[in-house]
Amino acid sequence: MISSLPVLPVIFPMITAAMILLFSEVKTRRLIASASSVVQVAITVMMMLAIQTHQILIMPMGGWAAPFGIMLTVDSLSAIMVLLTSIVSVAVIHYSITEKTEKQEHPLRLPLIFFCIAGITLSFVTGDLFNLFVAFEIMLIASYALLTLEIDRKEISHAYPYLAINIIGSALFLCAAGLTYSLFGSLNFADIAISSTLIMTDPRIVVIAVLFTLVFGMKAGFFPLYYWLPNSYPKLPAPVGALFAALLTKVGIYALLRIFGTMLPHQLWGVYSIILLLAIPTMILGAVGALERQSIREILSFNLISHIGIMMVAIGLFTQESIAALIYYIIHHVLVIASLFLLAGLIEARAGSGDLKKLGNIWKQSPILSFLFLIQALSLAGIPPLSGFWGKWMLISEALGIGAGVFVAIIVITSVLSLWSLLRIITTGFWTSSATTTTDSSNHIISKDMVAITLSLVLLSLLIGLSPNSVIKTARRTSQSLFNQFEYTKKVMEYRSIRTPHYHTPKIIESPIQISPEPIEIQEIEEHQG
Amino acid sequence: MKIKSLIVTATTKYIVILLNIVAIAIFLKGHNEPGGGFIAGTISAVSLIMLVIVYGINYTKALIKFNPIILAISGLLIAYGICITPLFFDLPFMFHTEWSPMVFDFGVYLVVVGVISKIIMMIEETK
Repeated sequence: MISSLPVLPVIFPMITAAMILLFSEVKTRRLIASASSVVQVAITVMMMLAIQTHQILIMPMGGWAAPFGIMLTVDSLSAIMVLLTSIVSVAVIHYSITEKTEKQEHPLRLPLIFFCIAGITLSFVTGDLFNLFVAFEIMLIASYALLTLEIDRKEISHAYPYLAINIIGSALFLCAAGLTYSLFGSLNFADIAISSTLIMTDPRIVVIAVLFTLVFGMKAGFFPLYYWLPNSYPKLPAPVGALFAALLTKVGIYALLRIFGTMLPHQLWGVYSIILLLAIPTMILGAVGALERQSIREILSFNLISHIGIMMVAIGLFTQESIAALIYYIIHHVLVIASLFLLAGLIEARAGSGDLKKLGNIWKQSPILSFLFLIQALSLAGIPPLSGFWGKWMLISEALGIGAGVFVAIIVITSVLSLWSLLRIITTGFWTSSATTTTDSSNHIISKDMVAITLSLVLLSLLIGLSPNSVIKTARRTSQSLFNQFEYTKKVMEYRSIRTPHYHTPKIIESPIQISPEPIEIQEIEEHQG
Repeated sequence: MKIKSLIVTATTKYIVILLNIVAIAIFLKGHNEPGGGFIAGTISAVSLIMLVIVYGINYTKALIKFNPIILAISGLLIAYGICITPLFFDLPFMFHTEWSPMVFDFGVYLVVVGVISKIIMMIEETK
């Protein structure tokens, strides 16, 4: 059972998606989706528990030996990311089920969400570059469809930048993977890690590192390439937007961690400083952009970018403690941003609009929603007892220890700006009473189930904020195992000499063409051809 | 769209049968050599396209009698099923015996036929 764990969270959503498509009755489809997402959480929790005892789980696909066979490799970092994915997806799927009546539901939304989850999960569990590419493609194709599925014809142009940048990104990814193969002769992370220690000073490694930074930076929303994000995410339906905001950008961050932590040697200081330099404008522009926008989810999208900038600082410093801070921060950010997007969706459903100018009096109409939004906004900005604080605290104390005071200052400024932009939603949207939509908004009734689903995400993020010790401990241990490249490569290379119990031994077929022993004949043939 | 030429309508039936025989041959050949489920599926789908072009969409629908999406999904489930079967015997995912790649290929064949015929039907119906 344990040996098959790495593949289960990938194949399970895929089978679910196909099963959902098979049934046309909406009730059956919803039952399958709901049950499957719960089982998925159970599988990933089991994986997390198995990681505690086994450290690294490996599944050789088809029984082929390492470096050439495909190894699905799950270490502590992958297990955390897969667990987060399943938690967010269970919330998103149940929200999506309760959001619409059976007639309104688009028949393709649930299967596409499951295919998207399968792609995201595969990118976390894969142990080689090629399957990372395949996983990105599964995820992106599902996300293109989700993006344009329920969008208005007028707003479909907002999908083009997303489409264009991701197609360019995928092409670059393929080039980078090809370059890696030409340099190392392998695409397996562990195998590359071994070969790259032999040619550590080769400038081509730097080229590869820069290319991968560009590719995954595009997906994550790094400074010059974030334009697509705040224009496309607010156009999505609320649950799909929550899924994208919480997970798709984190896949980019995860891939960078995998490339720099597991695959390449740890002394690429030039590349790390590029990431650090790009982090400054990402943080500042994201925070400033959030101040200027006028609807809840646009403000949240810009805040997402500025927080990606903070994560970039953690990658750029590249010490064991800063990566631990990053892992804690990812856990916090996935839960908080997913719940904020769902809350924004609820508020929009309640008030009929997400525009700050039209909103008003939410505080009186739905005090629970407003209170939850306030808590999560404060948590995102990093106010002390809440979860956002601890990741920033770990990062800031580490940066001060190294002597990178500039970044501390910028992180603090970003946090203040993002707090300002989030409080602006609350002061102008929730507290003012002069609003136009207040009278007719009683028509928009939201179901209690949706609130309950969102509430459970909020409680989970409160839990990791109020008792952060165990999560910080897990993050530190994960960071330690990520820095221990030797252990990872050793575990994968144990599969170098597996003997596959084939049911048949390959026969050596005698060639029907008799090759003449005399070389003279061959010369004659060559002369004829000449 | 229908083609009225007598030569075309008379010969298409036989060509369709021939194409499907070729598809089966290529499907079986693909076990060890170039060929396999995808290519065989494409050839079978081409035969369906010929039926649609020559005899029209209604005739073809009456002839094939299956829902192409259901066909594609059952193909997908067959392919998934043969991939996860080894897990129940404590063998790695996608582990293969002498015959199991052929089952996988058959799944691929059904997916290709289903998807392409669905696309063709949609194009024809929106004309």
